[in-house]
Amino acid sequence: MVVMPSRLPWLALLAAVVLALVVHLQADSALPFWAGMPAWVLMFIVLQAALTLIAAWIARP
Amino acid sequence: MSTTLISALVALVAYLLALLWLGAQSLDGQTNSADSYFLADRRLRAGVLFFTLIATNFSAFFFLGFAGAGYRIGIAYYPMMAFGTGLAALSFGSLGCRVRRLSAQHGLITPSELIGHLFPGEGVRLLVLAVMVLFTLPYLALQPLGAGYLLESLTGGAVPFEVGAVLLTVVIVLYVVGGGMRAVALTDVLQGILMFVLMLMAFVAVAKGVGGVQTANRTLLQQLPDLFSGAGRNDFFTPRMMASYLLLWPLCLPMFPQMLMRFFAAGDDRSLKQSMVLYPVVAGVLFICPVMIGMWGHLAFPDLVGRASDQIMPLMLGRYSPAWLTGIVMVGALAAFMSTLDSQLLALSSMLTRDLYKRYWRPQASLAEQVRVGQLVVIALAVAGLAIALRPPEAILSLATHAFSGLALLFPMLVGAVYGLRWSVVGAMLSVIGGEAVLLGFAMGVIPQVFQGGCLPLIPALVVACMVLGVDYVIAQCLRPAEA
Repeated sequence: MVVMPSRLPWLALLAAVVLALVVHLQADSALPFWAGMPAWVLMFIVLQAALTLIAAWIARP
Repeated sequence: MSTTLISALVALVAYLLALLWLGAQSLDGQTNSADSYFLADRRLRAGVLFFTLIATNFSAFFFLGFAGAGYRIGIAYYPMMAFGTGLAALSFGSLGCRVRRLSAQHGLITPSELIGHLFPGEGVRLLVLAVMVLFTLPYLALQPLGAGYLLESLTGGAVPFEVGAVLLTVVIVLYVVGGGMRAVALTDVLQGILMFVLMLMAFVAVAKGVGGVQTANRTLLQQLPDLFSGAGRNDFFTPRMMASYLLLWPLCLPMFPQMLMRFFAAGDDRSLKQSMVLYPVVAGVLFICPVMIGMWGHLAFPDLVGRASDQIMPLMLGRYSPAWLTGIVMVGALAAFMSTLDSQLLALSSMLTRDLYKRYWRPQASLAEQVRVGQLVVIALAVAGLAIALRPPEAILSLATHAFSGLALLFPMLVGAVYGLRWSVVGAMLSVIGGEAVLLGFAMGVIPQVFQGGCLPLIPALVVACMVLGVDYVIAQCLRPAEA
């Protein structure tokens, strides 16, 4: 199956959303803390950065 | 007179004068046409467009409500809002660009005109107009209500609630009537910058006051570990609720008429796409500040219950930040109130003027007449909003709480049509009416809560709306060969 290039960022977005839901599902305050923040929140911050990159990908001409 | 009060009054006067000055600046280059007044000649680009999208969307709830939610729910509120808002911003560069091109090609000014372009007849456009007005008006009325209370608490009661609500509304009306979208966009730049800078200053001041992020969070983890769980306190964010909210924001944000009209007013696709990329960054950085300030509130004010927790931001600033900063930061919250209210006023004014007055009453109305009527409608809406704010009926408040879901139900029909799916008029109307009926059923308790399946009521309502459209699509496919 050939995936159209313009669909790829949207597939990446779908993956990011699924990953966000999985991270939330596993989120627990007993998880390790880094820099004063629970690990799962830091993962969400990474996902937020990924979302920004995906937005930039979608925005490409 | 306390330092907080003096700094607040000085900042407030400077801020209101700056708004009026910017409003006056926007008169330069204004032509007496509906395009110019309602859409700033469709010339909003890059920086201005970005700030107007930010300031319009981030209401005072961002300043006060996020902190309250951080106090009541915990850190889980942050990813839900930041990630959800980031997702919603993706519509700027996709749906927004398509809507911008359509509106520019066909001279469309309001969301109903867009619908009128996509569907024959009057039914769908009137329905969309009714839904947008019905859910935006109560939300509009909440802004002077909140602003009045904030000004009262900011000045220690020196400016009573009623006087504050009227004063702030009058300032907004002055620059919206004078400069239309151009004034709203220019003032949004100032308000957006104020929100951004003042929130960061508040965060730094309070973080320093509680002994730093690490120390405060570790102390809280010992006392209230639920604050750091994914579900939050009292298991607020179950996985289904989280998924519901992540769906709600992308669907409702572009359906706010004031946001949709910013797509119309954008100067080019590039500006919309730049805003789309920057939006998740700003949401990611900014949203964590009020939520953490709210959480840290448990260290100093452990006994706040219910809505009292929405006062946690001013309480924490009063306890931990320099007195002069407290007053100034609260002016940032006022900026958030006002930047949402002015956009709502202009959006509703354009819809009532173009979609009712011009279309059904005075089709021959000149562009200049439309502008004059639009200005009068801004004043009338502001007065109506104030009247509701001074004596808010329970039904209005209840309607405002369902505004997001109510508007989100327009998304499948409207976006499908914009992307070329040819719904029938009946299918489009039934989709919206069916979805709203389900929402109303849940709100009134007619439909048992068990049918929500642990999600927001939006989800079953959305299922109904999409099913209607699906059936409509299948019927259209079946009829096509027969027609040929």
